[in-house]
This record gives sequence, C-alpha cells and structure tokens, in this order.
Amino acid sequence: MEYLKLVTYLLYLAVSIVLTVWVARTLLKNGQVFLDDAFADERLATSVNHLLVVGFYLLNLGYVAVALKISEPITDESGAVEALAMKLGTVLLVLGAVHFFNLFVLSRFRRRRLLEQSAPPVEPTRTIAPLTAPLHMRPPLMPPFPPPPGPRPEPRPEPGEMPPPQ
Amino acid sequence: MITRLTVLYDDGCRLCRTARTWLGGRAQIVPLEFVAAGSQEARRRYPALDPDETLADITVVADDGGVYVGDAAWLVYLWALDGYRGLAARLSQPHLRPIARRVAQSAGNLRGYRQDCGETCDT
Repeated sequence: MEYLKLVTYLLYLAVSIVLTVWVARTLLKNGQVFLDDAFADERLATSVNHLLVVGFYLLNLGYVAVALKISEPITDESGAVEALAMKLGTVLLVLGAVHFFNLFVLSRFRRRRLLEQSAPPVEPTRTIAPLTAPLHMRPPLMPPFPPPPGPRPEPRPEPGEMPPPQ
Repeated sequence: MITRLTVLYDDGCRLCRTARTWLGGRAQIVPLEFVAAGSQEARRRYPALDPDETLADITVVADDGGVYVGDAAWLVYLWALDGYRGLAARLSQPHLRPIARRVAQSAGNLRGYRQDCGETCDT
C-alpha cells in the first residue's frame, strides 16, 4: 500500500499548487482596485500588488512543502482521502488566515490615508475672515485712539504727474 | 482646506504651558502655531476675537477662518496631530462627544489650580 501514500502526495501537491496559483491570480486581478484606493498611487499600488503576490506564492508553496509529510501509514483508499483532505484543509485555512491578515493591514493603510485627507471632525464654533495675506504683509494693529489733530500733510504728486496750475 | 492652525493658549497658567510644550512636541499633520491668548500678537492677528474669551477657553483658529472653542478646539487639535486623527474622529461621534466635552471642561477647571498669573486669568 506504499503507492497509496505516493498518490496522496502527488494529488496533494497538484491540488495545492493549482489552488495557490488560482488564488494568487484572483488576488492579483481583484486586489489592484483595492490597492489603488489604499495607496492613491497607481504605480505604487501595482508594485505592491506584485510584491504581495510573490510573497503569497513563497509563503504558501513553502507551507505546502513543509506540511507534505504524512506520518501515519495509509492502509486503504478512504484513509488516503482522509489524509489528503486534512492536508488540503490545513493549507486552505492557512491561506485564508494570511489573506485576511493581508486585507487587515491594507485596510489600515487605506484608513490612515483617508484620515489624512479628512476634514476636521467638528464644525467650527464660529468663523472670522480668513487670513488672506502673510502676516508680515498685514497692517500693524491700529492704536485705539484717533490720530492727533492738525494739518494733514499734502499728498505728494506722483512722479510724472503735472503740478496743479497756479 | 485647512493648512495651518493657530492655538491661542493661556500663557499665564502653568498647566497650559506644560500642555503646550508636550503637545507641541508631537508630530503634526497640520502645522500648529502657538500664540499666547490676549497677547499683542494675538490681537494683531485676530482683531475680531475677544481677548477675554480666548483667555477663558482654549481657542484654535484655522487659516480658513474657522474658530474652534472649548472641546471643539481640543478635537481639532487632536485632528492636527499625527496618530490622533482616528481618536478625534471617534470622540466627535454624537455618543462620545458629551464625554469629550466633560473632559475638556475638567481640563479647564484644572487650569485654575496653582495659577501664577494673578487676576488676569481668573475667568
């Protein structure tokens, strides 16, 4: 019955690899929109998307390889199916956990970016005229008393302006 | 779009100065500028604001003309700091806003403790 174990291994590897490739392609295709929104930069999002997919392949195929060994002897066909289901189920659960952790991290990115663009969470108590000119160009505070009485200085004629006729 | 906030704080109270130093050292998303309430500089910048009112309660003035007083000032202050924007948004929700208001009032009451400005900030 040694061939049963070998068949189980081969089936396990084949199904795991096909599943990994399918999930990675789905992530690559559908994750792009999410990442575009999370990073607000399409080039960065595309780059992160590819890096994430590479990481996903490494992590998942690595786990599939490490978890390959079946310690118990396989005596019949139903035992082989059970062992295969156990292995595949574990792979799928790990895959799902990694996927949700990934989504969680990225949604934190997205939330942070949205918060950075957000308006103040409260309405102003009241409003005054906004500052239009830089402070050093604004007129100084007027003294709270009227200017001293006396003859006002004559306005100087503009250069080039004709003097008034005598 | 707010690009700068001016915080009018009570320079006569030790607690306010400590808070200003500590909070001024946090990373800011929106640059904050601190001006002593009631000072010549504050009057020059904001002639429309009553100096007594700005001394009575913390006031934050945005460069778009928005004036935030009391708990609104604290919330907009948190909003300007890096890492506290989520907290500000949470505290602004209707069911948490009364708590924010009470905390702001408590901070205002604590301000009277060990004042060192004589009569000027006794409001």
